[in-house]
Amino acid sequence: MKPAGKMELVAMGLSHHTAPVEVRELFAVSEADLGAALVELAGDGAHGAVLVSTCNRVEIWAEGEEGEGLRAAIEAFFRRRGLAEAHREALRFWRLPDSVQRLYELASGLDSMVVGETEILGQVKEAYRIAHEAGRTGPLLNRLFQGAFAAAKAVRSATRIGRGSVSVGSVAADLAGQLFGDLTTRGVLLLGAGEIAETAARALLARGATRIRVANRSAERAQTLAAQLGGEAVPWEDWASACESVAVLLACASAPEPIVTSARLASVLARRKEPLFVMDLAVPRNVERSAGDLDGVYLYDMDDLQVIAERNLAARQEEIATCRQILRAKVAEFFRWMEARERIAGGRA
Amino acid sequence: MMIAARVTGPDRTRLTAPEFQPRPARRRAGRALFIMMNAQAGLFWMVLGLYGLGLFFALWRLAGARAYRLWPKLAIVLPAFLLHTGFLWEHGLAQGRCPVATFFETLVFIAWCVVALQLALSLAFRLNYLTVFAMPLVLLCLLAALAVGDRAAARIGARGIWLGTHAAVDILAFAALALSGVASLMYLIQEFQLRRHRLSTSFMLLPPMLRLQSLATWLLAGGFLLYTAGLVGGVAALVIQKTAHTCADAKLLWAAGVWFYYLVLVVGRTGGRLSGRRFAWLCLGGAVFVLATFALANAWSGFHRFDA
Repeated sequence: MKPAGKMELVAMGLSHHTAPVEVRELFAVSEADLGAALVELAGDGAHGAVLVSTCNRVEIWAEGEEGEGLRAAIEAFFRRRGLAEAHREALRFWRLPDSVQRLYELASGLDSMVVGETEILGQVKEAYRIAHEAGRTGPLLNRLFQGAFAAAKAVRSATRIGRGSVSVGSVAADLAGQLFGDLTTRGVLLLGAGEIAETAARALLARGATRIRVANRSAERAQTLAAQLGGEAVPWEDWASACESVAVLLACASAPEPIVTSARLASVLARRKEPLFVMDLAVPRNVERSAGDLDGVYLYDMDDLQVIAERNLAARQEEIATCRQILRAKVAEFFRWMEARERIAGGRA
Repeated sequence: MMIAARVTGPDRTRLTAPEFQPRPARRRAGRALFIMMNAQAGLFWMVLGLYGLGLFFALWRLAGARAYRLWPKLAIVLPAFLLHTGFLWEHGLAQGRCPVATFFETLVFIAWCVVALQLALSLAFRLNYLTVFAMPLVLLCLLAALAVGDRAAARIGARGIWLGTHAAVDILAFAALALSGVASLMYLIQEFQLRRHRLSTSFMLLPPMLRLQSLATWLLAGGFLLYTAGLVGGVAALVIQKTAHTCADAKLLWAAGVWFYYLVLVVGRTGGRLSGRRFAWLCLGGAVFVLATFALANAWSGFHRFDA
């Protein structure tokens, strides 16, 4: 780890922008194998390296002596994993200053499939932690990654890049949260026990909902899902009475005709004081459209929620330019630090 | 023409004559009063300006769909509130009484109560965006006070502890009822957006709808209790001070009507007979009615006029 000449920071890798999943999975490195992969890179000549491997990307940041050696080291790593001529176009390479900008954008979620998502920041932090604990990060990489985490935080707090949910389930949970505030004391009734019901219910659980009830034509399936979600199953024919004590009705059963009619819902509403948030995620729809006109009922179907999710995503994309501006300032900060470091090193020499 | 006639008329000459040859003690008192009046005017304008700035800042945050945090809000509104308190204190000292006797003082005191309540609510429940909706009401009260002018003569006649308490408690009640209207307005805006699927960018920044509804209910209940206590104080004042009045007086009828309206609202809400939307409309309607007709009821009253 002792640098001899001028140091350089490079990045190389492929992502969902450049490679299909069949190519990405060739190079994916599991968390358990990360340590060994970093040793491999060190053997090829990198003084330090951090490898970020997620379902959407495999990218490596490495520091070492200036020249082509560093690029060759990373290429050797990819070749050993089956890099063919056909994949070469998918592989991208960044030198300073682009390698810094690349990491800052990645950590801020600008390069993610869902722009502004935060999962990537956690994954980058984890990749850095593993490399750091394995003793595979030098001073440049340490400063680079700390800077990236700070930049991601600055971008998130100064812009709306992370605002507004972009998935149907999360949008529905957000709206229910905005209506009821605290969801911890509110119940949720699932009408149907399919995959969509489960995803939306999990989004509600993530926002604090606790009492989940599942009504499904197949009682067995209802019990299985209820057990998975920590809730309880109710008989299919009792859904209306179960609806009296919940705040959110999540309808996603498979049925050719509406199950929840206006008349049925009106009789339910007569026996409750609070409003009812109804999410109709089924196609064909489970809830009669006119039920949305009832006082105290807020009805959203799949299209309504999709429109909001798309609008939120568009709003996030509009923020990208502002985010890049903030990141440019952070990158400049990193270079000022690098220059100062080189001046000190030059003075000592 | 009227101003010229006043200045040159015999009355004006008679009124201002002592000022041309003042005694030293009177001159000193006059100068002190002049300085104090100017200081009070300065305070008033500063309060108005800072509240305006607070509203502008909150609107800017809301329009940009950005979070409006407590500390930036306190940095603007709290100094304004302290100056507002200082103004009322100074004014009370200058007049030698609780500053709730003139229409000007009433408006300034209502504004003070609204700010005090919304600051307390912001601190307790993180309802920062209440400022956006409550501050226009505060500014409206202060601007109306400015338009009315501070005329010490335009006050309700004989004051006593009962009348002072009645006025102060009733004004506090009006502020609570006005804020319940403000919370209801915020609820209705969100309700409209959620029902029509027309969510604005700031929709998710406002407090949750049911929290606003319960806030409106509590403010309504509190305001109603205070109003009842204030009315009891007012009736006691009428009896104790033996004020000449008639039961068919416009102010008494208005007060009884308002009290009954809010009684129905409280009973209807606690009994669960009013839906959220209807309750919000009635709260808002009640607050608008009270604030819009308060001055008229006083003007038409035989014994409760500000210039009585």
